[in-house]
Amino acid sequence: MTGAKAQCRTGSRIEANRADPKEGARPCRNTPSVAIRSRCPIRHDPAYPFHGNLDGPGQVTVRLGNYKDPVLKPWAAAQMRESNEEVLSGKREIPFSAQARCYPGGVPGQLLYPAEPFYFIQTPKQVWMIWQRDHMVRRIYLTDKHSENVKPSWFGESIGRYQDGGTLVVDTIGLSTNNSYIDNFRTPHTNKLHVVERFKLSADGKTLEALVSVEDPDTFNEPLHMVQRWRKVRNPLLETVCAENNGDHFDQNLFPIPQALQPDF
Amino acid sequence: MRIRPRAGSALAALPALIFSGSIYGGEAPDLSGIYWATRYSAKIELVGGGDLPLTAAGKAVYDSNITGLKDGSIRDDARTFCVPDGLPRVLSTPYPFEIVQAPPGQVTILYELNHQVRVIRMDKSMPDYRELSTFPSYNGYSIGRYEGDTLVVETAGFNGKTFADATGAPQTDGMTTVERIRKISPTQLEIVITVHDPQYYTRDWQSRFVYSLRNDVRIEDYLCGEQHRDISSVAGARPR
Repeated sequence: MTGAKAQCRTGSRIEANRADPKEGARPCRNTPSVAIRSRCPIRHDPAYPFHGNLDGPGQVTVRLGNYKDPVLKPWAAAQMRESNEEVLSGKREIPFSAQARCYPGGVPGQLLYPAEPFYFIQTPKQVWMIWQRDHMVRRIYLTDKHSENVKPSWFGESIGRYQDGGTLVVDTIGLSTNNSYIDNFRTPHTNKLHVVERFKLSADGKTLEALVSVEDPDTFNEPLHMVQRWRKVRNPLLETVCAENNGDHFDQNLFPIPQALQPDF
Repeated sequence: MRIRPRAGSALAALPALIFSGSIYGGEAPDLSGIYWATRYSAKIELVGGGDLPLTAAGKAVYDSNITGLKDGSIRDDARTFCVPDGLPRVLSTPYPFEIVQAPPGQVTILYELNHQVRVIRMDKSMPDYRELSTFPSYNGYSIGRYEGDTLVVETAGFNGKTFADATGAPQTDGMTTVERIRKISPTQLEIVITVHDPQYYTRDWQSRFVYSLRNDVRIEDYLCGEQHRDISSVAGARPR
């Protein structure tokens, strides 16, 4: 697809990843669709600025989250610091990243996968979100109530409704915590994580925007707000299998990809 | 904006989305729903019984697969790293799966096992060999059409890395399959697959699978190596 506007061709990177690292806890000025009440997502550690593959020439760096962010509860800050130190000490050259290591990205972390399309299938009762990358699937049940007992899982239980005609509002709970993070900075969460995503196509139909709020009173001192945007294209859904050729070929002590020691059946 | 996509770079495949419309309409039989087998067999069972009609080459590969899977020199990636099972093996799944007759022009089959996704294109014809062999895949390239109450799915473009069943029955990347998918009662789905793989088999052979409609269950997340749903209700599936 050609002719995409400049502001939407980045696709899927959380806006805040590009923001001024000194911005700290000030309102998210990069989220114009949200009123100025927004607490930004966690960003990189100001001492170790992030330079990604999409950031033009220069040495690519790994993601080290700002564990000093005052929004973090002490346990979460300590866990992030430990994860950063594991990288800085060289023990693990490339930190855990869900989609690079074939893990589900969780909610909202899965929205961060930047390099391949994802697809919506909509029926009157349900919406499926299918990521081409490793054929990850999220299911959104178009109902107004969560189940009484939600079994914790990678993508939790998502219920949704259409609001004002054009916005799909998705409410997710029941997110399991083991190796599950809300972003690529390995920002952890507890089983109290509650995520609300508002998906909306732009008026010209070319851009999808998700406004996301993340609440977890045991991890964050206040809710976080973030935005993600994608360009709409007409690509066929292909098969990309993460576990293929995903060994630790350069002895970087990569996080092991999921493996079954015993087959299920 | 500091992002500078370059022609020919991986950035050409920028993130994308197809926001589809309503569900598939028209005269299509309603096959949508969640289905779950009631029995499992590691060894593929042929329509009409008997053994796989292996060629000499097929028998040699099968024997070596059986030996290799037993002594560990051949790894079953579908069970170890949860790569897609491919056809016809995925049809024997003891976990539920769902058929979604959407978006328009497509039928989508989503399996709980290995969170596999199969896309069946209802509005396309089969690409030629050159195109198929450029992007071979575990699940192949599927096109479909409705014939009365039956969804007929033709698949080609496999990658040859799969087994036809859990015992290591061999297959090549030149295999083609035809599945006939229909409801045989309001609560039962039948899939009969015909496998054409002349390098390893002396004739085309068929296998039949029957599933129960189980809209009372939801498809769960599945990650390799984790504890998954209880499948002890599926006869023949080894309980954990």
